[in-house]
Amino acid sequence: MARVMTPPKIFVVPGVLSLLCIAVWSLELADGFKLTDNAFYDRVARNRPGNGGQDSPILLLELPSGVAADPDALVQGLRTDGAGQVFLALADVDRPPAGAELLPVTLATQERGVFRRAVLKSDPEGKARLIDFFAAPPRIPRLSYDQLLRRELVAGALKERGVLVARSLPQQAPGLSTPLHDAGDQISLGEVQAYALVTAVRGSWIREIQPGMSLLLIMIAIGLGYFAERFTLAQVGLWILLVLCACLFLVAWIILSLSMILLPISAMIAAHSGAFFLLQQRRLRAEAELLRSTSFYVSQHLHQRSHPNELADPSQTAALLGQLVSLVLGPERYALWESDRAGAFKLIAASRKVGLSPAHLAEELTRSAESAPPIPSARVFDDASATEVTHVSRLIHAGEKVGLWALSFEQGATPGMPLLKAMAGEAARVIDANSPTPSDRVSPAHALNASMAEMELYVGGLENLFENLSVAAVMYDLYGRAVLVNNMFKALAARSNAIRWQEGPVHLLRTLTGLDDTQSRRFLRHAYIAEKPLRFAASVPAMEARTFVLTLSAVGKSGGRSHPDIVRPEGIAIELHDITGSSLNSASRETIVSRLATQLRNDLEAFSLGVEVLDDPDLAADEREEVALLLRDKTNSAAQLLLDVEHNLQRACVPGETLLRFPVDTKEAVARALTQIPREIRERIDFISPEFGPLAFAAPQELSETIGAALTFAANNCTARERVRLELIDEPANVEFQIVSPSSVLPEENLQKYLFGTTMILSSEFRDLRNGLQLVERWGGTASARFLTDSGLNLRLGLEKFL
Amino acid sequence: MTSGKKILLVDDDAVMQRVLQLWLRKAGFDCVLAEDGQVAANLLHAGQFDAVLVDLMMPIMDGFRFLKWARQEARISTPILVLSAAANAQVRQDVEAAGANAVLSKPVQSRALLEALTRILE
Repeated sequence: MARVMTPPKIFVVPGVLSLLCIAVWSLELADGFKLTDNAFYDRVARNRPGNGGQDSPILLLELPSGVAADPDALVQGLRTDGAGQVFLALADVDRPPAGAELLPVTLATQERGVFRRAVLKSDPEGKARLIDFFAAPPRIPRLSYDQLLRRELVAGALKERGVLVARSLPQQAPGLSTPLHDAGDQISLGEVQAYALVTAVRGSWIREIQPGMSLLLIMIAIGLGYFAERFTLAQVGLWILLVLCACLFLVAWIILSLSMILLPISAMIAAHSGAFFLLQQRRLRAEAELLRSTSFYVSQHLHQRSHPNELADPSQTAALLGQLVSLVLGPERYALWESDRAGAFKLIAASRKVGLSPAHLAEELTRSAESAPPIPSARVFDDASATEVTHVSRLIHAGEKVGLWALSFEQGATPGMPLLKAMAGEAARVIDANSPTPSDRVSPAHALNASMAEMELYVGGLENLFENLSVAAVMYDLYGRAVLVNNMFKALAARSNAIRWQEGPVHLLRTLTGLDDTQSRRFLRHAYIAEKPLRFAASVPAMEARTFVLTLSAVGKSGGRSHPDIVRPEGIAIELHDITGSSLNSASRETIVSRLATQLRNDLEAFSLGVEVLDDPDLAADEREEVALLLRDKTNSAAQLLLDVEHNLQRACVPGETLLRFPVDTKEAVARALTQIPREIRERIDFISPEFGPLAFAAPQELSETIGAALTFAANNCTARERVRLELIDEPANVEFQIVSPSSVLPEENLQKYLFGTTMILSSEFRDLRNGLQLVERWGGTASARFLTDSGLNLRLGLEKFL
Repeated sequence: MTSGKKILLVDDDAVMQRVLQLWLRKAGFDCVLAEDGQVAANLLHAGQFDAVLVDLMMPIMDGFRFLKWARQEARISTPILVLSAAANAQVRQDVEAAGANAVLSKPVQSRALLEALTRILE
């Protein structure tokens, strides 16, 4: 199967960015960004602090319209008052008088109605330059013509300053638009000319970037866009873009304000944004492609994992589906239809002849969504009986209606709805996987849906499996967080408060194995890195009577290279296996061997001494015959013993039986029971037994629990602090546990009803004992409980003797 | 020296009872039989014996309980020789602590049995 490991090459990044750079630059050269650059300049001009104002080298004298002034006298007067250069911008003066000159600049053509540029008359190239407008009040200082006539000029006002003499506009005439004012707020021609003159005198023309430098700046902006997209997450990319644009804008503003250089800000932002969006588009397309590939991979992978190989053969699908339905649901009759995209149904499997057409069924099904009428079995299946109940359902996979099924069950035999739904889902999945146009190959969206459906089924199944494992298990991720804890582990933790799996694997390992933290960490690392399970003897606090084995193993590491974009859980699994039963059984086997050896030694003793007796020449003939007979019997009984042991061992554990029984040392079983019951009860037990506990058929741990339950029951149902007697009686064919509690007072009727009846009981004491008594009977033993007025409570548990 | 000494033989195994009885007779002992500890206790309480030869594993009252009864309850000082097929070190220690004069593991050689009996009767 092809795995997509790297994003596809949708286009070559450097080439596209170069094209973008050339395009933006070309547009810049063709004044494509003039409008926005001018707007930027206007905005800066209106808001930056001017460098004109009081120290302006030029005063503006506007002659009122309609006033005829003599230029010679005017210039003479101004010069007399101390004016420096006098510039005339009067339309009716072609030749300047002595001491004055004509205005050295000419306003360039307005751009969209706004005057921004002027041309130096002395410039042979006639280049239109940007005037340095400054908005800070009081702008260009003015000289009033009336003041001049009345000779009321402030002393020194004209000193070292030039004067621009212009004519003011008639009152009704519109002014000129400049960067300084918004639309509708205009200034006079003289004032615009004064700005141009001040700029020329100061030489403070706004410098515009040369084409070569523009190209460089555009390239830098594209580079910024590339890095912004390359090193940020898609979710915040747009915000990063906006922040960088704002930064560019701010830098351009500062440079213009302080250095009088107008950067090609529009081209830069366009280049930066263009690069960002192009790259992001490429990334999105690559991710979409990757997602599609991943969903395809997951879908295929899961199909392989969860479908039998036979399902790859469409001809077998129907037969397998039929088997699946019959085996799991066990319907009386069934019919399965596959539906294509056009809605046509095709019968693929059926156990009986079907009466109603599938299209009709589907219609009824649609109607039933509203009124939910049952569809009679007889209408669906030709030969259905009146007692059958029909279940009709659409089969839906990944949101697609892929088929329809009808199942009939005898009344009362209908499986639960969860099982029906689960099987309908499974059948739909199989049909979909084998249809000519499976839904997961139609479009990426369907592929994703299908994959997710597969994933949910698969993961859900695994989780369910883990939850219900018969060993206690907890799985930690590499951060030490418990990501999965199964039911048995939770139950174990509920019984032992010391098991705090939430505190991480090191704590758990320390609690269960007694290792210190350093050792625990070392073993955890080893288990993960070496990927080899480690096993430790473990003990669960508060459950010391039980024996556990703890297994540490790595999770999610094996299986070779994984798809880089598929999340695989990695971590450590800790499993606790309760081997109490196994260890007890093993101990029982050792006991059997030991007892057998003892018995044979006992028999050998008879032979040894018997042979010596037979050698006695003084032995009477009848006695000799008697001894010989006895020894022959002894030989037979020893042989029989071996046969009995072999036979009993074969009977002990019968494969296939739901309840296993073993030869159990009854005295040891009592000893274990005594360690498992509360101390205050244990101290009140008088235990009488032979030196060697006979072996009997039972299960070691369960027998101890049963004895413990019986002792607890007897102790808790008698006068406080009264003693309870437990006697182990070794009989030829049986071993009996006799528990007597003389001071117990329990109505006989209740005793029988609750211990041997089927009445539901809430008392855990009664319940545990009842379960134990039932176990004794299932091991082939007998159980009885009596209340006698003279001897109190009398419990007898008899087990079949092994040896 | 052992001639005429009266031995109480306690064993539940009929074959062992008879074989030991014949062997003891051959060795010059008088022998009285008991099939378990309870019977032996009654006999010991009622009569006079020079020694008791007792098996450990018996029904009703086993050899260990008989030994404890004899030493701790009845305060009887009659020498007691314990025969056991399960006389490992722990059992031997327990039995001796309970008051047995000697412990022999089955199968026992007749010579060892005779020596042990002679020793406890001294």
